[in-house]
Amino acid sequence: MYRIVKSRLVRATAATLAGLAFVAVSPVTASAATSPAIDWNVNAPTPNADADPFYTPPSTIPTGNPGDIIRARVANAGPPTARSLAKAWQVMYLSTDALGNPNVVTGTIMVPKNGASTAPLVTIAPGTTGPAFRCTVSRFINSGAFYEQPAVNDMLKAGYAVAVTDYEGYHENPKTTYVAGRSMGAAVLNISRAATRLPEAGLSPTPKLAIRGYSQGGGAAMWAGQMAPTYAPELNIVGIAGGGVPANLALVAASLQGQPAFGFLLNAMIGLDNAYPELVLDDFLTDVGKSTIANMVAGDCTIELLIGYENKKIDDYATESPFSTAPWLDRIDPENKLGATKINVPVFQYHANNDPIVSPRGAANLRKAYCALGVDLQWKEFDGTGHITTVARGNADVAAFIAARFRGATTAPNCSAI
Amino acid sequence: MASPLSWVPSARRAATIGVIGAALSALAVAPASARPVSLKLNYKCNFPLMLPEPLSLTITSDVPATLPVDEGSPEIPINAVADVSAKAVKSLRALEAVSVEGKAAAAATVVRPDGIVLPLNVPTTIVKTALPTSGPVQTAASGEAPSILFPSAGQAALKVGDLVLTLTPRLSDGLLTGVDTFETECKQDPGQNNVLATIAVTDGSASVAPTKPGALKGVPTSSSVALSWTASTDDKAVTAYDVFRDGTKVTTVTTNSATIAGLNADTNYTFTVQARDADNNASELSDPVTVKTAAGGGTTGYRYAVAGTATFKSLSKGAVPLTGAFDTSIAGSTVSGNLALNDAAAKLVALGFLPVDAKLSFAQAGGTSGTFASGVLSTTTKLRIKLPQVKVLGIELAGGANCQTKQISSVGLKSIEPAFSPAAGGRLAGTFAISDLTGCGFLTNLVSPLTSGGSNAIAVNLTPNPVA
Repeated sequence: MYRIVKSRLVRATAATLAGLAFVAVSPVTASAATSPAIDWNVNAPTPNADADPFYTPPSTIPTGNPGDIIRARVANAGPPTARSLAKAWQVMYLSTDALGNPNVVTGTIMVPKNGASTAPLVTIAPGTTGPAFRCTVSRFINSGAFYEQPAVNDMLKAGYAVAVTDYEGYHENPKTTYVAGRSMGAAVLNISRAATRLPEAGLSPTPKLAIRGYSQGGGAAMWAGQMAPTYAPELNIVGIAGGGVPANLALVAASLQGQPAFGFLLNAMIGLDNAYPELVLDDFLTDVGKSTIANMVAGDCTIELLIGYENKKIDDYATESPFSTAPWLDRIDPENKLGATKINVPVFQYHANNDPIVSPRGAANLRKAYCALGVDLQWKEFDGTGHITTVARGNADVAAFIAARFRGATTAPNCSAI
Repeated sequence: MASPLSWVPSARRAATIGVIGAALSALAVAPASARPVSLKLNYKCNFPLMLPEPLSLTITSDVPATLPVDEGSPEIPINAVADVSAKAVKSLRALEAVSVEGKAAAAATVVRPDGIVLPLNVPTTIVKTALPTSGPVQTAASGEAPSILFPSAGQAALKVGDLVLTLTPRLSDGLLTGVDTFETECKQDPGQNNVLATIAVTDGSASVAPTKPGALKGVPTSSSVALSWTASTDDKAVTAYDVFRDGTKVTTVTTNSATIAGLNADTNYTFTVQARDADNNASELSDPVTVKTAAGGGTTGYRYAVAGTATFKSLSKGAVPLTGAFDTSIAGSTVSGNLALNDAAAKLVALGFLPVDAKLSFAQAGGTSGTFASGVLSTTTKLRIKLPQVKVLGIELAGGANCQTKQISSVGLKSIEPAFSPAAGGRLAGTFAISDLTGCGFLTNLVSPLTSGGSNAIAVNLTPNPVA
């Protein structure tokens, strides 16, 4: 059951403490502390609807470095084709939250059955999976119901190792931080580190790394790209591919209000509320809003977000829009607006020009911002398709971009076309 | 042609088992006799984005009931209809899909008479199926299991296990959706009977004769007797019943009823019935029944040839032609007799697109009674409608001796001409109700809505056909 127990008074203290902690652990580089041992003595994966204590964070977060694995267990790489291609593990690893404080995140590491030691690594930042525990991406992968499995299989078939983060907050009584950029970017970078720190996987300690994602994952990939130069400078990132990128949450929110995919906006409100102590969603919600949010956290995954809240508006659930208040607006812009800092590696950015869910205008603005910063950026527009269809439609171009980056081919930036 | 089976233990492959082209060409000459079987199984499927979602699958096939040792079976046709849940349909629609197609691979096993269990992969193709905007949908799949062959005699079984679906939803423009082509594993709910068929593997000893027909009884008129009995069973299949009157064979029928006409009034006749199977093994004779025809005094018997049509209200494919015989006796204003209709062929349409060919037969269920007064003949005939054979897309899927309406139908027929002349015959018309079907295997639910309904029309022409 989702219960909002925060109050604004308590929050002020929490924020202060969090800020101190942030100073203590940041910036983070490899081998700052002794790494914890990996605990393999854990329960086996359970069906999505059931409890699974593997995901419950330890009462005290162990000392260590971001990317260190604290728990691991063998899992499935997906349906039969994926299982025939790769071995897989679920891991819990150290990361940092939206404020830079240590947290733990779970995810999946898959390695080709042959040639792991020479395999490059692709980290997939998954798209929206939903606020409920049963939606956890690693659980969907294990049970064979991950909707981006075709992208996973493409990468495994190419001989790459694949790491997929679950993002922060997926456990019983979930506290997901959907769209909180610095939490997502850290989760992506740290599972990339974790993949090289799982001895059983047998990967090289410094594989070539490409990061890819669509929708939420497109945003997470770009956040990882912007954070990498200071947060994870040791990673050998050679390219970042992001599609359907929610670059400017204000534009995304405005285009979801009263629209079929409104459920994604409610999910973003849950995510921001969980990510930032000073944001108190409960203060804005009507009774209907409170029970709706509680039900979402108890059970909604992507499909439910898509079909459960069609054409709703914020005022169907709230007395006032949180986005009309300064604290929320500050967390949207500048805190979560992409494009303020440069990505130092080649970027492939793509978007459907008919996207009704993630504003194409925000994506076009991000492209301009990156180009202005001198990013080596290749842009592709998918003509006539919508957001959901482009989840898979971009896979061939992303695979080609990643293959070119791994073999060190010349890039094909097209910033001059703007 | 099937490729060689992978489940053959390699040490014995050449000598004992398997599936080889040579064996199959031999089979073309002497095919093993097939027998329709069906099995319904419930699964939970891991569709993308969803918790395990229920899916029920009805598999039908033709599997030989018996197979000699070391002789390959024909390739085994597999047809399946899956009931996809409303929620799964809604999820696919949320991805903007308007159709789904793909492949289904069933992990089947063969349990040999010696107890060894071997895997048998059964690939099937799922036909492109339109997704409704709401509600569940049925999808059909078909394919072939390879020929199988056994090295020793005894009972073998074919079991159906878990499924892997490879599904491709498509947008209205035919292109791929956001989930591309994906694999979905379906796990069988535990505790179900998953034996699709058993096969008696024979080593040359004689096959078994059908069981003795039981409970023979007859309903007389002054000139005919309507006989019915309980069906026989067989290790292969019962193919025919021979009906004997006072020790002489008078007719052969394929279902468990017959009307013997041309009899004298007020006379004792003794009947027996014997079942035969495909190998011409005959059962024991049934226990005899002696029936006395109705008294002829003051009664005039008439016999007509019947030709006409039945029009099923719920069908769009036109009328079903009917033929048969109507034996009747008129005593005063009281009419009694038997309306015996021959088997008829009906073309139905299932799910809006699946052509279904059904053979209809009409079993006596109480004879005909009625009145003839003021020049109007008005009769009611009690019949049970059976579907001994149902073909979908030309493939025989189900039906059988037990496929019939749950309720007996009362067929009301009334003369149309102002003054019906029993001697001249004439036209009759009326209506009848058809209840839901039972005993048709999985097609019960598929075909039942096509045929059942309250107000179906029947029109026949009676042509005098004097009693021989």
